[in-house]
Amino acid sequence: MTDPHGFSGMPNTGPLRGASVFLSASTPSPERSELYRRIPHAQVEVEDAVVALARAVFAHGGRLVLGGHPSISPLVAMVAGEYRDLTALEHARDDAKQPLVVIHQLDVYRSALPDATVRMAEWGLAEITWHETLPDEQRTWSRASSAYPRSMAAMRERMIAHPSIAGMVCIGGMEGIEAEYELMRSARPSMPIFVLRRTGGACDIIARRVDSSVRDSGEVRVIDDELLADLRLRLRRAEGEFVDAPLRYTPYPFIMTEVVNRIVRSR
Amino acid sequence: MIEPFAQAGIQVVLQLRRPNGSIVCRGYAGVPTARQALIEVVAAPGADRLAAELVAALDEELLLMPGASAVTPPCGGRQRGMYACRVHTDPEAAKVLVVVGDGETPIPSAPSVAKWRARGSDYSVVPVLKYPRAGGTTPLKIETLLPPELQLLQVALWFGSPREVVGDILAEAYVMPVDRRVFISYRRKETLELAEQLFEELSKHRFDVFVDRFRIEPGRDFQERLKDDLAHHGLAVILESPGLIGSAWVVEELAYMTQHQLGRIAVNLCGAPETPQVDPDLRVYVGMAELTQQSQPAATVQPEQRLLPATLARVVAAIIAEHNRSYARRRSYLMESLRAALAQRGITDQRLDSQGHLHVVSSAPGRGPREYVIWTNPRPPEVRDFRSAHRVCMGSTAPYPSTPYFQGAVVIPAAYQEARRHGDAMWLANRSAVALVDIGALDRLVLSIEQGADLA
Repeated sequence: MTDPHGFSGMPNTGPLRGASVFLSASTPSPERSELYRRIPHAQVEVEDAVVALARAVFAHGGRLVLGGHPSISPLVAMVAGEYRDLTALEHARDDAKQPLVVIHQLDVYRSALPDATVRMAEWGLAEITWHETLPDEQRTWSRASSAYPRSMAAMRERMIAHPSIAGMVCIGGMEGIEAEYELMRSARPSMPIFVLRRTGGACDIIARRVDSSVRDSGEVRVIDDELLADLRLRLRRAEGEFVDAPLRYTPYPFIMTEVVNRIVRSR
Repeated sequence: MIEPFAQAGIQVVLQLRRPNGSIVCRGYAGVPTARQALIEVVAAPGADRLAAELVAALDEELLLMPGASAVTPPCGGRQRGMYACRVHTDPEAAKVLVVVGDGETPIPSAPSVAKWRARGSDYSVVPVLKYPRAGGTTPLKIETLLPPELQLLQVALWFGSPREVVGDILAEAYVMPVDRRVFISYRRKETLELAEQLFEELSKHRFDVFVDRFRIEPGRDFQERLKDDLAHHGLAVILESPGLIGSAWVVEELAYMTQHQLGRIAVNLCGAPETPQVDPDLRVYVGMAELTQQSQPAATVQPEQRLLPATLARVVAAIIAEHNRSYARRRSYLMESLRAALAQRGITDQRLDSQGHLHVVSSAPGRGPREYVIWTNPRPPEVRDFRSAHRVCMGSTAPYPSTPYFQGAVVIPAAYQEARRHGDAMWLANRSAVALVDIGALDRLVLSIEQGADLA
């Protein structure tokens, strides 16, 4: 069956081929809600935004790069499995075998990797890049990456420096997302960055800074505001007249395909 | 001349009968339903406020449906006489009388109820009772509250909010699909009785409940069955007990649910560890005092324990409310992305038909207007989905033309294009007038429509 329009979204066939999108995402926790605004059903919203981005990137031939996160990493890796026929993968050309997801992780977390992530890596859907934990930060083990600040900073610098990264998307988040955003802005100021204000958390903070600052605008787009603020949806009734039919849910699949198209155009 | 009722496009009429006998009503157009419906809500003594709350909840639910809008009926929204509404003349329309009681005051016998039911098989009655006391443990003695003509009918009970019974009423009116599906994820060794209790109770509320993962046909691969069942169930109920997170089966189920964005709600038992895949806003807490007695004292839930009646009602109410919410969201979420993407490209002539298909008209330069029919499906597409859309594209009745009247497409997550299911879906797409589109490639569909291109 041919797919002249590219509707099936099979990998290695789209305009993002050879490029990566850097994903910076997490769900703001209820305990931190005073600083990082938590929207209703925040976890569902963040997951939906992440899944929509993953599908848009993979359907256009690209890869996702992200720092390891216990719920985001396995989710992205599993979505990658939707775009790979594992049976065919075994016999595919080398460039068709390239994992769709690259997860960066401190080596102190080797034993704590989620099973789903390990499985996806074994199947060739995800690639894990391990980074050394600095010796003076190895003394005590903690699930919280904030326990390894300098190791994390070094990992992030290497992570965002990869030349294949063509764009960054920020979803929800707390300090980690703010740190990755700042790092990208200073290290690669021409990188297009897309922020989703409606996912709350760090994105809400960044979006407010973009609203009020010259420095933070330019390549940074509060993409949900841009796309949805003036969008007017109507439906025609059988007898011909139109009625307003506004959105009830944030249309992440629409937003993310638009993000991907803008990244493609910026290359 | 188009009859005023039809001209207004009204598909559902919602009425509230006031104590003085007058009826106020509101019409709804654009509701995805194949037949008209009339829902009349009447309050038993002491339940006037509850009846008004229920009408407000029904109104809210109807307006949440994609494409639905409120319309003032030709009568102006006020009627005298129980059968004055135009819908009563349509034998195909569903007419539902909802009798609301406060759960404390016996509902008196009323000849009008028997008369309603006697008018035909298109007339039905739903008794609705509010559970009277929050936190109570005494079961409701329904037989003492209902008059003889309502005794044999299934009662819809609400505990905290009338939204809990909205699904039952709309299903009776054929407005919501009757198939309400729930998957219970649990640890057999710890919560078997509780899972079976929920199975029984949810089944009474017309849910199709999958509770025992070991009921799998011989020779059937567990992974495939798991995916089939989960994908077809709109909501997962996770019974959080001490050993749940460590169960390999449950980890697999939870990962799948997250990937496929299935609705999830957790029932946390006696402070058990919380599964990270469930949003904290979607968790119901149950304490030890809300469970039946243990055979031997323990700090955690025991496999023989069940929920006490009031807690069962509370938990079931939360499950129903979350099912309705997540079901509505799943139905609308993909469609709204599609509509937004089309509108952003200037394709604003959009119409939803009674089966939820989106009809769009594109006017590409040099090609003239062209109509497309698209539907979205968060579940794996089935044969009947393709048939339905194919018939619309081909003009609904045989003999079909050699080329379709409309170009058609179904938009689904790529998850349902993998392995065996992909082959089935592509086989169907090849043999119908409907293209299969991954949601990740939404922009390509929109571009093709903008250009007035063929889709298949």
